[in-house]
Amino acid sequence: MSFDFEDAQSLLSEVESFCAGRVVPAASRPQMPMSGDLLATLSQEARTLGILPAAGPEAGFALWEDVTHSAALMLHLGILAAVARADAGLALAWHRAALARVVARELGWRSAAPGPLAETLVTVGHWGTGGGALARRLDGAAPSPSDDTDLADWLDRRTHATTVIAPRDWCALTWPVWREGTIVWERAARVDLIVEAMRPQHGFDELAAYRVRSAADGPAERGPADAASLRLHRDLVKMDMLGLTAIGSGAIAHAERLAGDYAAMRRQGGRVIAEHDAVRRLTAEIATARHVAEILLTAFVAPLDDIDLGRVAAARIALSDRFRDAANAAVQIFGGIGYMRDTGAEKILRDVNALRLQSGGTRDLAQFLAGRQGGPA
Amino acid sequence: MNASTHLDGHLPLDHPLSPRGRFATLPLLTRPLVEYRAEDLWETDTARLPRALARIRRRARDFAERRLAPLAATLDLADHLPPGESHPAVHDLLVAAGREGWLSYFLPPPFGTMPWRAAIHPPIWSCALIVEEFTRVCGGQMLLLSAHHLGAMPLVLSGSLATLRRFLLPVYRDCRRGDPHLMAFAITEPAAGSDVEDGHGAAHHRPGVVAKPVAGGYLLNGRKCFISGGDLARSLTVFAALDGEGMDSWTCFLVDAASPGFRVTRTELKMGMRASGAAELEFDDVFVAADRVVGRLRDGWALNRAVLNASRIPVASMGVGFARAATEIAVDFALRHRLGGRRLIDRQDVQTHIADMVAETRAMRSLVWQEARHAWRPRQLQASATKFHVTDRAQRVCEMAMDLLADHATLHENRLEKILRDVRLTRIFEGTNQINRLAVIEDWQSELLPADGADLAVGV
Repeated sequence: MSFDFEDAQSLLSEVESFCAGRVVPAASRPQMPMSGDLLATLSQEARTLGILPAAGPEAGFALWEDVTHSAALMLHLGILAAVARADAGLALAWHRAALARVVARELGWRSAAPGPLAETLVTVGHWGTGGGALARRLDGAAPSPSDDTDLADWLDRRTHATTVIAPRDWCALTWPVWREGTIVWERAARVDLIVEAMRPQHGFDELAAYRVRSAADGPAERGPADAASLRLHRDLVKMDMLGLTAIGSGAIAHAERLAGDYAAMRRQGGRVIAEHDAVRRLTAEIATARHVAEILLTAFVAPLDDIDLGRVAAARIALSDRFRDAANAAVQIFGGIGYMRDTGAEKILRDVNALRLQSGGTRDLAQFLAGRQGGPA
Repeated sequence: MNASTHLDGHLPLDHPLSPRGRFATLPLLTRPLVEYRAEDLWETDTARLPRALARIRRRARDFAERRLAPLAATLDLADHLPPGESHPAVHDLLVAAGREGWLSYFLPPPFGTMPWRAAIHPPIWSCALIVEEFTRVCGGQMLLLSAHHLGAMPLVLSGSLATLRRFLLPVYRDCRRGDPHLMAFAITEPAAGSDVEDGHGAAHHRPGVVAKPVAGGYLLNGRKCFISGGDLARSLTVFAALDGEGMDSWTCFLVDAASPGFRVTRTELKMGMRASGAAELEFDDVFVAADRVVGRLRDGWALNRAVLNASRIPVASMGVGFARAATEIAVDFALRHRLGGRRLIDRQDVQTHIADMVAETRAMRSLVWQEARHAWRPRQLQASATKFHVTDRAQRVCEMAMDLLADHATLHENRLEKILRDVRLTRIFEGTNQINRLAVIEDWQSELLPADGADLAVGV
């Protein structure tokens, strides 16, 4: 079945209508995060509309299902940005659930549980991005003892707990693990894992934080250790970073709208604050972040195989800083009221901060980038 | 497990090429010039303070670790309570703080509890030291205790011994005997955040709280918002314009919270600093006797700006406290967390990251102390520049700490996420950092525009 930009644009219009009609009202009181039930309802509706993947093995055009066409990438990035413009936490939950479906479909695993948010995924180990060791592995470099030592420990799920941010009702977790000298993908049911529920985390109030470890000899499904698995890993790292970046761009567009509306209404010194240069400077900082994000994301509207992993990492590093500064600028435009939970600006700031820290964070990504050895895109 | 003698990438102290180890072997006359003891950085800085201030710093740290630390997570995560209610632990904390002198430290005896030996230094300096220690442990509780001093500041600056004796002394006495009598500083109005902190803005602002003269005093009407500690205060220094006049008539009134017509209408659900309430206050024909005017009629604007000049340096020291706490957490994490069998601290990449954080934090503290030690008459330019620069940089240090912990930093249990939420307020209150930048220029005008038209020769 062919799929072109017109199709993608048409689907994106539907996504935006759905967000305007369903997600925006659900997220309209930022001091009252969406309940788990509401999250599940919206997600089920999104699945029915074809935004989220269905449970079956057949791939359609839902989030992250087809990554072989430019138009499909435009759709995926557009979906995440559109949802994040309404609620970044929901976008993150969908992103991770969709990636978990990608792994399941590639490895022939049946759906772990019926709900669209039943499965979640992490792409990294217990700290950082895997740095140069993972970069070299993904580039196909010959294994080295020091890289193996780092990766074995990084993905040692029994010894080290991994931070997971997910919907409260998640049932299964997909993650890479170290087995017999290499990386394989594993899916374990929540009941078979050692899961510690944590206190409310920094951002994504709709979701919850957990520290998760594998139980000794706990049952799990595992994929093979072969070239296809390595390719899948490379694709997932790319998709994860692209998705997080798209969510960030949506969150900043949301901040821009909130701050712009406020600046056009709030008066200070006898005129609306939008007319003050000091505020314009902040407004421009937000707009710059959004524009740069849109430009960079447009560069990734291509078949996933043609997208260079290093460029994706570099974009995430550069944009994370801009998103952080832009979200802060939005709070600053609001002034004191921006610090209060009911305006929404501070939630976007926390979401953007938390987004920056996802998947090993962006600081260690520099080591990942520097460790690349010019392997496949 | 044996203790490490050195970090990866560095030589042990007993190595022949370790400079510190070799300094001790240099000639006798050289050693006094080059040899040093590598002490804990906090101890080093404390030892550099005048002795009385060093004692205050140690006592503040002790109180913070003993009384504030155990409550930090509890009060941060506690349910948001309606106006008039507070967590039971808050009252106990205030009682303890009052009895130990932390609610009366701005003046020496016979009024307050500042040791006389410390009183030869600007009180802003000792205040900055205390604020840093409290902030390091919990921003919210620091604000709970510090907003009280902000509320009392107009009394201190009133220029009237009678005001001190009649109004401040009882407040301090109540606190000392374990009956927390908190004060709050009420300037912000629903239609004016920055306008009440900036002269140009104030010139265009229509006052939101108005005082109408009546027999024996004034009736106050209007609303104030985002008043730190306004929910628990028993006395408030409230700034209001005189009926029919503009902001230049602003006058400071000492309002008893038990007065008929005074009401705390709401407390805000804040991003951070949650142990301290931000209250909206309603004044509905609140009578204030004429003898409860603080300072003189129409001196309120000047008094307000003087208070802000005094308070902005301690606000900067909040930034130091947050940056210090974040750095300490990052170092602790890097020492404990291992990857591939190596501590994170053994990675050069992590070492350079932490070095940046330490240098930033110490640079901030240097600036705060440099300004505070000379702040008998705090100048707006220096106070505002210190406030916006330090708080901006402090947040960046907190972000660096979060970057180092990566996914772990999102967890409340690791404390950084609270610090980030708390530090964010320091860039907003006491004038947004944009307003503080403009305050620097406002105060600098006389030097930028010499009256006699002489050639410009601006010193920076």
